[in-house]
Amino acid sequence: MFRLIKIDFYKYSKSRTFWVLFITYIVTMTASIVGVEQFLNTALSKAGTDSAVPIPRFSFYSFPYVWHNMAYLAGMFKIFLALIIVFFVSNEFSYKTLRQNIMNGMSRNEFIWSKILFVVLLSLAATLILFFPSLVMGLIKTKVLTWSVVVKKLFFLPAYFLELMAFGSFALFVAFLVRRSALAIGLLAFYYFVLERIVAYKLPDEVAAFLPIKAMGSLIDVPNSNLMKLFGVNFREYVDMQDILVTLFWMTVFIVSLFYMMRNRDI
Amino acid sequence: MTKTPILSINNLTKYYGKLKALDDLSLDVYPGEILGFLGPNGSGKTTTLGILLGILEATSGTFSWFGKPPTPGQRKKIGALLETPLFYPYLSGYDNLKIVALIKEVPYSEIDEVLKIVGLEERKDSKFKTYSLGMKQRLAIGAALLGNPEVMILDEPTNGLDPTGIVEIRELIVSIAKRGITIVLASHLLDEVEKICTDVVVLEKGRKLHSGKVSEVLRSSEIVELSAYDLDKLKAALTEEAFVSSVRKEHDILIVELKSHIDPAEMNRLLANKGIFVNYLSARKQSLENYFLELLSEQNV
Repeated sequence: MFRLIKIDFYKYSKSRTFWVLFITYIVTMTASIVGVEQFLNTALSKAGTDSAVPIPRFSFYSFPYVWHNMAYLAGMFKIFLALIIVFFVSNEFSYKTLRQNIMNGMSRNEFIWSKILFVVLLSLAATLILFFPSLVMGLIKTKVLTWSVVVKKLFFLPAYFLELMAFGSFALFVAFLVRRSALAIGLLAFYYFVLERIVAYKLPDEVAAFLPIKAMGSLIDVPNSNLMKLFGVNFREYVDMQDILVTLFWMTVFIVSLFYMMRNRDI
Repeated sequence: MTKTPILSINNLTKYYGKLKALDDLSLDVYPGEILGFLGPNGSGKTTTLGILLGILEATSGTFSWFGKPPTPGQRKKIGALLETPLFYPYLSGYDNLKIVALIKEVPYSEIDEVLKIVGLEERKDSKFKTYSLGMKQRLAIGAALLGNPEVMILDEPTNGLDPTGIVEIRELIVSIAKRGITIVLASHLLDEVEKICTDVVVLEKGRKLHSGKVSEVLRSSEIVELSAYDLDKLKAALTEEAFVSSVRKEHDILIVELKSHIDPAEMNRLLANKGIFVNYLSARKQSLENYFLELLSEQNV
């Protein structure tokens, strides 16, 4: 297993494209986490001066809500990670380096595992990138700091990891299926932004909850805020078991199909 | 004494949709042989090699490496260059070989040795995309040498190279062969194959036309080249003779394959008696190229 991680490490660690994309991701995530409250408050204060109802200011960073809020925010950037995955994996097909890897003695299954491990490590890294800035902001902005309030809603972090892993395995599925980078990226974006949303819109809610992207996105529901409470809307403050199961189901389907796709194909 | 073939192919057949690329191919390669794998474009050479190396799936038939059924792990002991050198363009030569070494589970120390053998030491830290075609081919051969392979499969290793490059690669292959490594060399350069290879297999339309020792092919018949002002009359006269096996026209000469040895002077006399005076006569040994072209033209009759 370490051999496979090492092999992929050497494939990407010296790729300028990889570092540009990854560092951009880190910077964007950190800036968003740190700056989101200020941004929203400034934007809304302009709106607030005109309205009759006083719009409360956001305080995103207090423990325990910070984990939920930031995980929800971070989830909006997962498409970026998916694009990194699709780009590099489909390049192995278009440059035919996969072919040379196989000829050199790597089995097809080993190749698939090396990509799965890549997604795992990338998701772990992204979870840490979520964790540290959120922790810092929470420590700064929470008025009453107790140990329990810090860890109370920490479960959103593993939920976020699951969301990324599942979305990452979807990205792998598209990359292995389509094999050409431009087409794979296009298909991923199309399905995520357009196709599933249309299908979800047309289906009744109970059924739509079983669609892959919807389930992954629903793991971490829109966080409540005082603003929402004003309107009487109350979103979930926990992670729903059904969403977890559906997400795990789709993740398994995507990963198993990778092995099936590679089994008797010509490369 | 029976030796185990290092590679054994049994009734291999491959269809691409409706196209039959390989038709019941069977072949054995013994350790230490340098096998020339010949055939026109589309004859199934690259398909066969692709199947042997695990990247293509046969429709039916089996093969074995080192006397055992094929597994991916075996390929760590096989060095392969198929069609074009395939490497990560943004990585240096050295870094690319590092990845190959990791896959083959070979220590990094071998990388420098191998770079020295193929003459790429100086450019090892330049990115692969900056390499010339010759350097790319050489890096591919270097990668194939990692791990002290027992067999090397080289598909058109001189593809796209200038004459100097071709000679360099030829010398490299010869020196590799001297180490006792079994080599399967697919090539269109028949005079190269004649010089380097011990055995030869000819494919056409996915079928094996011939397999045997190069030395036997070269000894198999004598060739005489002839020309006269009236080529057709010359051809007719020759075809009548019992000692003539076949006559083939090439540009403005006739290439005649003899069944048995005839002294050129005697041939000259025979033809003169028939009223044909040759303006060119040259006796030479059979060449692989001639044998190959003969074989293919027979098939197309």
